Amino acid sequence: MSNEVYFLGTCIVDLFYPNAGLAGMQILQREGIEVIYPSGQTCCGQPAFNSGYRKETLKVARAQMKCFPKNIPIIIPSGSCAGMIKHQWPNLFKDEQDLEAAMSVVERVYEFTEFLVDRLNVKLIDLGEPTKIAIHTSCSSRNEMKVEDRIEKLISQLSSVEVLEQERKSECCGFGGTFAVKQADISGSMVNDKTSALEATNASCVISQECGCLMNIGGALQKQNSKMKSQHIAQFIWDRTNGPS
Amino acid sequence: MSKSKHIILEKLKSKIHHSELEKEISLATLNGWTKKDMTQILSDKLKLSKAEVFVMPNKELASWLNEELPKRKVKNILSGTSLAKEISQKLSSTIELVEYDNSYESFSKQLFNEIEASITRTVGAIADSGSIVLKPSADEPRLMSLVPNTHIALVEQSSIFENFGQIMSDQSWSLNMPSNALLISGPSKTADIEQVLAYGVHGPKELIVLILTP
Amino acid sequence: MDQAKSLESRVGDALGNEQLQSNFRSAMDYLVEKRSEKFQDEDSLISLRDSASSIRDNSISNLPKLLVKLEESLINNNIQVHWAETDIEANNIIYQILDEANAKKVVKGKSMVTEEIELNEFLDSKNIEILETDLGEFLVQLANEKPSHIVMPAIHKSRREISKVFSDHFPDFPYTEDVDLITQQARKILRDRFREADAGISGVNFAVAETGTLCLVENEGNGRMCTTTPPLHIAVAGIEKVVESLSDLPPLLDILTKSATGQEITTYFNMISSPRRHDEKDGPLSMHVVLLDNGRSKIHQNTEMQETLKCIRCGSCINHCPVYTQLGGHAYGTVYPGPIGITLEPQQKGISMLGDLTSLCTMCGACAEVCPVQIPLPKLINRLRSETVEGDYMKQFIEGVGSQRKPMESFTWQIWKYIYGNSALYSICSAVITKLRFLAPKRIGGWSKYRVIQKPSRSSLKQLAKQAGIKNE
Repeated sequence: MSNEVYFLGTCIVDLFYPNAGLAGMQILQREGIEVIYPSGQTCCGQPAFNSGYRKETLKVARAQMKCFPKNIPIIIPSGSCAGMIKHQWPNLFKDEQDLEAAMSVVERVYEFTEFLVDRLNVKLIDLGEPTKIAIHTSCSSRNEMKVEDRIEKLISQLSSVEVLEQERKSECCGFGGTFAVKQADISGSMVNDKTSALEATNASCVISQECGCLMNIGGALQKQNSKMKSQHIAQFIWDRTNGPS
Repeated sequence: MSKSKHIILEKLKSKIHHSELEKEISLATLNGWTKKDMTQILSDKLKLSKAEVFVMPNKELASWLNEELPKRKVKNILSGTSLAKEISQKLSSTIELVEYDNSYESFSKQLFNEIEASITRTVGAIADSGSIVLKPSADEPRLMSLVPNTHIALVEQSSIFENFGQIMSDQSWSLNMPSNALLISGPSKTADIEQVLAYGVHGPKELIVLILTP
Repeated sequence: MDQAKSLESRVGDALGNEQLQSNFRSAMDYLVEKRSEKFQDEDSLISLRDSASSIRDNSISNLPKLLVKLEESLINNNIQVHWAETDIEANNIIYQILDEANAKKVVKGKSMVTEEIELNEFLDSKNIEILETDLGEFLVQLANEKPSHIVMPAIHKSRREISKVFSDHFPDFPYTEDVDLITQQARKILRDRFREADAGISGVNFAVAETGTLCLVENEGNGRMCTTTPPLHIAVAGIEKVVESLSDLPPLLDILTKSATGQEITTYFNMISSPRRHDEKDGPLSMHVVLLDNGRSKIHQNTEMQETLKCIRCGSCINHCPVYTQLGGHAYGTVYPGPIGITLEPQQKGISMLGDLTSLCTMCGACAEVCPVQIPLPKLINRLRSETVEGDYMKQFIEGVGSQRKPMESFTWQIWKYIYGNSALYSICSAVITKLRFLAPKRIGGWSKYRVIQKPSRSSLKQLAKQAGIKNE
């Protein structure tokens, strides 16, 4: 059996969280996986799809299909991008001639934490300092991908990490892609509620498997001059399990 | 056929649907509760909905009424004709037994303004939701269980069922629906103001369920 | 319907009202908690949702057949049946029935479908007095407002506001903020009205085709009053309310009350199958049912969107919607707010007028998770979003398809398509962006009002992957 996987980094990770993407690939490599990062990849199409621009989405989605030809898993460090492909592409392509080709991508998609837990059953050894964190499981990981507990399972292996639970943990942070721009004030009110709930835990950092949420929550925390940091799960795991740097 | 009916039906029919899907209703499975279990569950659930529940042998009904109604300062009680025949002799003279034996129109003023309590039979009860089941009739009209401040309902222990589906199928409801059938699961209530529960908004303020054993 | 103000200004009003926001937040917390207490066992919830969903699928797939059967059963039961294609037609039918009966005073039980056709306003204009009798609806009517939630109509009002409205209208009663006392005062006022009413109007929760039975779910007893004390009862039902048989009722009732208010069951489940029979002593002397289309048959024609019609109006999508929680119901400016509202209303009233409502969704999916009949609301909302800007799919079903396409926005997505659809072009762009990261704007519209803007990274992941020697194909 081949131990190769594709890594679909996502557009936000590519430009804003590349270290999280790299950390994700390094974790996979450490597990003996051969990672391929196809250089032609750009975006799953989610931003346009959520805005109603399906024709434009199709064009971009098609450009991705060519990048992942081998029949090996595709690992995505984001619940919403994984959800976009796994759950929205079938609908997007349902009346298209290349539905079959699209489905061959769809069927191989894994969210990053899902793959670590379900396929690799990874064992983590925590080398980091004691810390207290809060977890923000993204709505896509929870409602669309139904893998929200994988991040908790991974973090529970980290012996020096204490997880604090915020109020209304499962409530949306208000990102919603273009929602945050189109309905900026509603989104702002939502993210402020989210940061208040997080602040009330006294955690030093909020961890998520979703960079969209992190950009939203992290940006708001910064705006409020909060001491709380935000970090992607892949980065968090890599930093704590890779020995002193 | 009215014009609108025709238009609406034509539009609905114009679409071929994935029609002949079989409904997959997993009927609530029966738990095999005994009458004793069901009596307990029914009364626990009714009490949670703020109903009062008493279990007693059938023959003690009159003495219960004679004892309890004065305690609750109930001076008159509305009854159907057939039940009145059974209990009127045994009822103490301090309690006025009023029969609903006229049409609502001639009775409404008295019903709304003077009647304090009512007593009705039921066709059974449902343990898992904590409901009593009434089929109002010529003998026991609809408003008996709605207008008076206190509604006393008699449930034969033998007619308690596990769930709604069971009572409907056991009693073959679909063959003969009465003009009105009711599940009642407590006194009238509302939570429309700041989600604060308040009882007796339009219907009875008190629901008393007497479960009668043989 | 309050579409006089723009969506933007209604949203602004809602977000600017702290009292309102806190009323909604605590009410939604309460309803979410109550529901979850009732659904502790995941497996039985799954099987109950499957049953309820399958029953409603069956209703919607067989709608024409079931409606014909329903009409036949109702007529057999001595209930007169009317079909109304539009709101105007429904109002006229109702007015005609009332007029023929010389009914001047009408009491009404809680019914969203009569809100939908704006029956109160219509009958007012015909000098027929129509009184809401559900406590929440009564208070909303006194305040001359509209319901802000389909199950809890007065949820936007604090006890103090309610007390004020109440004492303004009924100065004979002592002012009180005690909920029990207000409730008892309302009881006193409304009891006389029930007795004096010439007609009662109600909605319908389920209409059983098999037996011609109209079912009403309620806690207060006003619904029973409206359908029993007046000599005339008119029930208004959307055509989607039909279910095939009595055996469909138990799962639907069970999941409806638990989903709506977290109740095991409501106080009353009222099944009406005929007016007063010849030997009976009470109940209405005549009964009418108005079957209302008002856009539903149009929705029915699209296989994907027709799932909208499965809705049983429990309101749990609303209770779990984080956007509704922020805004409350009035900001939507429609009869039905929240996820079901932004799905249903643009289909009924057209995209030109209501297409912008589809922006009131983060696609978080909380609604679909709790919907008792498994309507895939985010999927439908997303589909509608595409109908607002693309003109190809549903022209014949929905008015205004493509009408919300804005030149700038459309242009942005064309650019996006060219860049992201072409990996070479994207590589160049991302390389430029990482180099010019210092040029990242400090402000981007509303985003930066609440957040610090994150600069692009120094290197893209593609560059880092290459440096780390990761295979690229």
